[in-house]
Order: sequence, then structure tokens, then C-alpha cells
Amino acid sequence: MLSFSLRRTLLAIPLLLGVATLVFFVLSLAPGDAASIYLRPGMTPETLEHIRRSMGLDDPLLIRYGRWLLAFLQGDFGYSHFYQMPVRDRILAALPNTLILASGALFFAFLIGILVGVLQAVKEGSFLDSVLSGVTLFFYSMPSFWLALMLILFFSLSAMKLWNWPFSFPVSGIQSPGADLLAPWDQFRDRIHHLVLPTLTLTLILAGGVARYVRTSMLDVIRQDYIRTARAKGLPETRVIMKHGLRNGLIPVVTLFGVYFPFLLSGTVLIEYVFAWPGMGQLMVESILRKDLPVVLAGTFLFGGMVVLGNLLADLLYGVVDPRIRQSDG
Amino acid sequence: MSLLEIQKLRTHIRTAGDDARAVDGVDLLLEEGESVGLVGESGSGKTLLALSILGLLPEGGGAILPGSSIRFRGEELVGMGGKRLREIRGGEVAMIFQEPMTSLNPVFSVGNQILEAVELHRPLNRDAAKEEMLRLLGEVGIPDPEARAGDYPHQLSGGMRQRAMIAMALAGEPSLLLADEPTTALDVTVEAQILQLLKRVQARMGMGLLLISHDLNVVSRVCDRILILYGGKVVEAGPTQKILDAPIHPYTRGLMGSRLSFDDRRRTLRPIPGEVPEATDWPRGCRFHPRCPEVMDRCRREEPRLLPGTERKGAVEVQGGAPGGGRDVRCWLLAGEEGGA
Ligand SMILES: Nc1ncnc2c1ncn2[C@@H]1O[C@H](COP(=O)(O)OP(=O)(O)OP(=O)(O)O)[C@@H](O)[C@H]1O
Ligand SMILES: [Mg+2]
Repeated sequence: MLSFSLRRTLLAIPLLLGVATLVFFVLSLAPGDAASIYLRPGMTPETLEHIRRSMGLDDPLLIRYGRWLLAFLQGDFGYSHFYQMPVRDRILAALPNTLILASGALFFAFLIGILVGVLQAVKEGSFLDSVLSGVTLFFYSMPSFWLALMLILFFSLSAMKLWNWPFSFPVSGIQSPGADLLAPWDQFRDRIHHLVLPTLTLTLILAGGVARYVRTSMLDVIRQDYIRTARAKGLPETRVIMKHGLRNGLIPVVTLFGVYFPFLLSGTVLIEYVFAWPGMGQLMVESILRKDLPVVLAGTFLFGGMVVLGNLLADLLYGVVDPRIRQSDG
Repeated sequence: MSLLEIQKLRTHIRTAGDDARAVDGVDLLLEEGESVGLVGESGSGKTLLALSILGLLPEGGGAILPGSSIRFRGEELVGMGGKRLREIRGGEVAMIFQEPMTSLNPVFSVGNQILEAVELHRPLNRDAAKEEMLRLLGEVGIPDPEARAGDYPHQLSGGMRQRAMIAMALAGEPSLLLADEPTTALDVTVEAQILQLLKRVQARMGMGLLLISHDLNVVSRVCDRILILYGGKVVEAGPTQKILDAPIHPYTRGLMGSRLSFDDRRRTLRPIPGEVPEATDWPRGCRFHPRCPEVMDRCRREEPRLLPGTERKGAVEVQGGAPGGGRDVRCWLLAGEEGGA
């Protein structure tokens, strides 16, 4: 099992390079290029041409590709002309913001999703089950940007004033202007406040899917003979469900975890955009719009890598939760 | 006071149409240390009867009807819930199931699952409980308990899994064991070993045993008394030897005809024609009449009562009424005019 997963992971590397290559050619063939970053009013075409030449943008496509690939294989992601810094540094600046948003959201999404799903399965067919099914379907099928806008509408400062809410949350950025001057504790609180709405949006969207998945899985599990055995033993119902049921019910959920895992890096583009969250999603969108090719290529490769890593992680987790897979090694 | 006393048990299952009257007025008495067999074809209500005792009926669907009574050492189990019921489950009345493949949890080791039962019902510390778990594995004949305790169910053969199930059932030192077709999923040699094992632990622990099977042969090897179940009702009951020597009810005789044992392989196999009807629509009159080779007019109209019966004399002629040998039969062949319901 393990060797199979590793082989699959190694095979993914050429695939990822292929994807990056494809992106390279598609973006290169589109009109316009990164030199337009330096475009100023009153600039002569000769000056622009000079800039293009100095950026190496006038070389033939294949030469440019070869140059990029060679550097890339050596771990050099290139230089971003728009941000005026190495791509690596730019990505490392955006990454923590995305990680903190997405990891929080993933954690809460699985926590809430699992609890809601289990509760629904145990109370199958009840009024509570129907209500929760409606709610999870609502969040599951809702466009993330729309939910983000709704939350802004309801929890922003103006909403607080309008409806006399006891609280409000900031709706853009990772901290308030001038937050650097605050005491460490207040600075921390300010950060947390900024995290609330984006995290809530992503959590609700993901939790809806998790809950629906867990409900289906648990409904199947609690009809199994071993659940009856656990009851016949004299175990309290909570132990029956949370030990004997959940441990089996979570096996298929591992797949879902593998699918959601890449969000850790990519964030979700739309949510980061709406909340002006300076993370990977926003960085990617801006870089595509500005034709900042090296950033897009590095990002593509990283996102692809996360998908592969998510799969590998799911495979490993399967082994952890299901002894039948663990022992079929070799 | 009997160990188990079931009176007028009716367990029905709600379905989209008519209710399935799966268990429909069963009386059963089981004394301390006694072994009683419950025999009937598939669909006769055996499993639901056993599940009713421990309140394990399928959620939402199954219900024990008012008027039914199941008393364990005098304590009413119908309607019981909460802590006392959990103490009884596994602690005083344990159950083992038909399918050793699916009845053990696939993600926990067998040692873990047995240990869980020990810790639940015995006042032992962690180490002593572990010791006891290993002893139980040894007791049920699993070789090298220390190594096997860490095995997961899928690593064990069917026979070994059923032994592990039995170990789990014995963990709480129950005084009554309900065994629902414990050997049906196993092959013949393993079946013999498991029956041997059940008999041995039953004798050693002085447990009562309710052994359920569709196979008269299996039950007769272990049990003191036998109840024959058809259509959710007892059609014949009595001491094992008497039933084997002289079955009265045509259904019992049918079961004997369709049983195949080591010592009468010469006999041709004669299965009972037809099959058990759905529990949602039992036939009018005697529930067995559509399949009965000795059916009479009356059987189609009226349902016979369970009456004390005597030995069967001759081919058809049967004397009814007089109590004999603790035997009960539900058949018009047996009753005179006075036997009507
Ligand atoms: N969950 C259920 N829903 C509807 N009907 C059911 C359900 N469980 C059992 N029944 C019906 O109740 C009757 C008795 O079932 P039961 O399982 O007790 O039979 P059994 O004697 O144990 O048979 P087997 O030898 O196949 O185990 C059958 O007619 C069956 O169709
Ligand atoms: Mg059954």
C-alpha cells in the first residue's frame, strides 16, 4: 500500500511539470506581457521595447521556456517584476496568511461537519434531521462569494449601527491600519477579529459538504451488525456511536479530507478576494491579470503539489483508520 | 423463579403495508442452567424473539406489543431502559450472533473488543482485566492468545471469529447466553467444535442457554428441551429426546425429514415443500396449513391452540388432551372437538 502511494506520488512530479508547461505556453501566447508593468504615461515605444529586451521577453518562446525550466528544476522560481522581489519571497509572504485562514476553516469545518452529520444520522428522519439537512444543503450549494457578501452585510460595522448588533467584525485585510503600533495582545486580538468572517465563510461552505458526507456514511454504519453487538455488550449509546460507529463512519471521510487539503495553500480565490485577504488565492489572481508569469507558474506547481500531497495523505490516513488496508501491505 | 420467563410475547415490525407479525404470542420458560433450543425455518421469527429479550429490535421498526412479558429472574425486561438494561446486557444476559464476519467491529482488534466487555462488567483493574481477556481467549480455544489478541477480525477464520464472539459474550460472566444460529455460517467440522465449546462453557459456568437454529440436528446435540417455531408461534415443544423419538406436529416431522445427520445419511432428504410466508400476511387458520401434508378442512378455518399432547400413535390418529411428558403441540390432528381456540 505504502510503496504504491509513493510510486504514485513520484509519478506526479512530471505531471505537475507538464501542467506548469501548459500554463507557460497558454499565458505566453495571450496578448500582452509583464513589461506593461513598467508602462508610464508618455513613454516611447522604443523605451518599452528596451525594457522588454532587458526582461528577456523578446527572445523566442522556446528559449524563454528552456530558461524557465532550467531555473525551475534547480529550485529557482524566478523574479516577479510587478512585486520587485524574487517569486519565492513573494509566495512566502502570502503563504502564512492563507495557511492560517484555511487551516482554521478546515479544522472547524471537519469538527462541525462531523458532529452535525453524526447527530443527523442518529436522529434520522426527525424534525432536527430535516432542518439540518436543509441548512447543510444551503451552505453546500451556495456560491462562496455570495455567502461572504451576506456575512459582510450582516456583521459589518454599518450593520451593527443599523440594527444595534452588540458586535461587528472587520471585513477586509488581515489587520487594522496602524495595528503595528498596538500592544502585542491588542494586535493579536485585532488579527483574530479580522480572521472571523473569512474563516466563517470558508468553514460554513466546507462544513455543509462534510456534514452531508458524514451523515450518509454514518447511516450506513449504524445499521451494521457490529453496532448491534456493541449495544448487546451493554455499552452506553454514546460509546456505541462515538467509538464503534464513528471510527468506521470516518473511513470514507478521509477521501474528503484529501480533496479539501489543497485549500491549505490555495485558499479559496473568491473568499480571499472579497475579504481583501493577502493570501495565495489573491496573489494568483493578481499575477494572472498582470501576466506575472513566474508567480503564476510557481503557484500552479505548488497547488498541483498540494493535490498530490492531499491524495498521499488520504492514502496514509486510510491505513491509520482501517486495519484492513494497513495489513494488505506489499 | 425461572431464569427466563417469556409470556405472550408479540413482536411486530411496522412496514409500509401491514405490520409484520414476526413473533406472535410465544411462551417460553428457561430454568437456571438449562439449555433450550429454538428451531424453525428462515423467517419464523427466531432472531426477533432473541433481540426482543435484550431490547435490541431494529430502531424505528420493531415493537414489543402491550401484554407481552419477558422476565429475567423475575425482573421485567419489556420497556426497561437506561443503566439497569445496560448492566443486564452483556453482564447477565449475553448474546452471540449468526454472522461472525459482520458482528465484530472491523477496526478494533478482537482483544480490544473483548477487553471492553470485561472492563464494562467486571470490577477489575486494567492489568487484571487484560489478564482475564487473555484467559477468555484461551478458554474458547484460541491458540496463542497473546498473539491473537492483537489480530483484527479480518485476520481470523470464521470459526476463530465465532470463538472470539463467544469469549466476548462470556466476558461479563452472564447467567444466560442467547446464541442466534452461532454455527450457520460455519462449515460442518467447525460447527461441531463450536457446539462442543458452547456445551462445555455452559456446563462449567452453569449458564442458561437459548440456542437458536434452523437445524433440529444442531439443537438436539446440545439442548435439554426444544421449541419448534413456525409463523411466529410455537407449534411444538418438549424434551429433546421425546421430540426426536416421536414428533407430533406435521411441521416437526417435516423438519426431521429435511434434516441430514451423520448417522442417518441413508435416509433421503425430504425438504418441506413451499416456504414460510411473509410475516405480513400469515394464512388464515393454522399458519402451516398451505404446506401441511395432512391438512384438513378445519385447519383452513380455525387456528389451533397449543395443547399438552401425548405420543403419536399410528399414522394419523392422535390422542389429545391428556398431559404427557411436558409436551405441547399446536395442531388439529391432536385435539378433539374441545381443542378449538
Ligand atoms: N427489519 C425488518 N423489517 C421488516 N420485516 C422484518 C424485519 N426483520 C425481520 N422481519 C420479518 O420478520 C420475520 C421474522 O424474522 P426473523 O429474522 O426473526 O427470522 P429468523 O427466524 O431469525 O430467520 P433466519 O433463519 O433467516 O435468521 C420475517 O418474516 C422477516 O421478513
Ligand atoms: Mg435469524
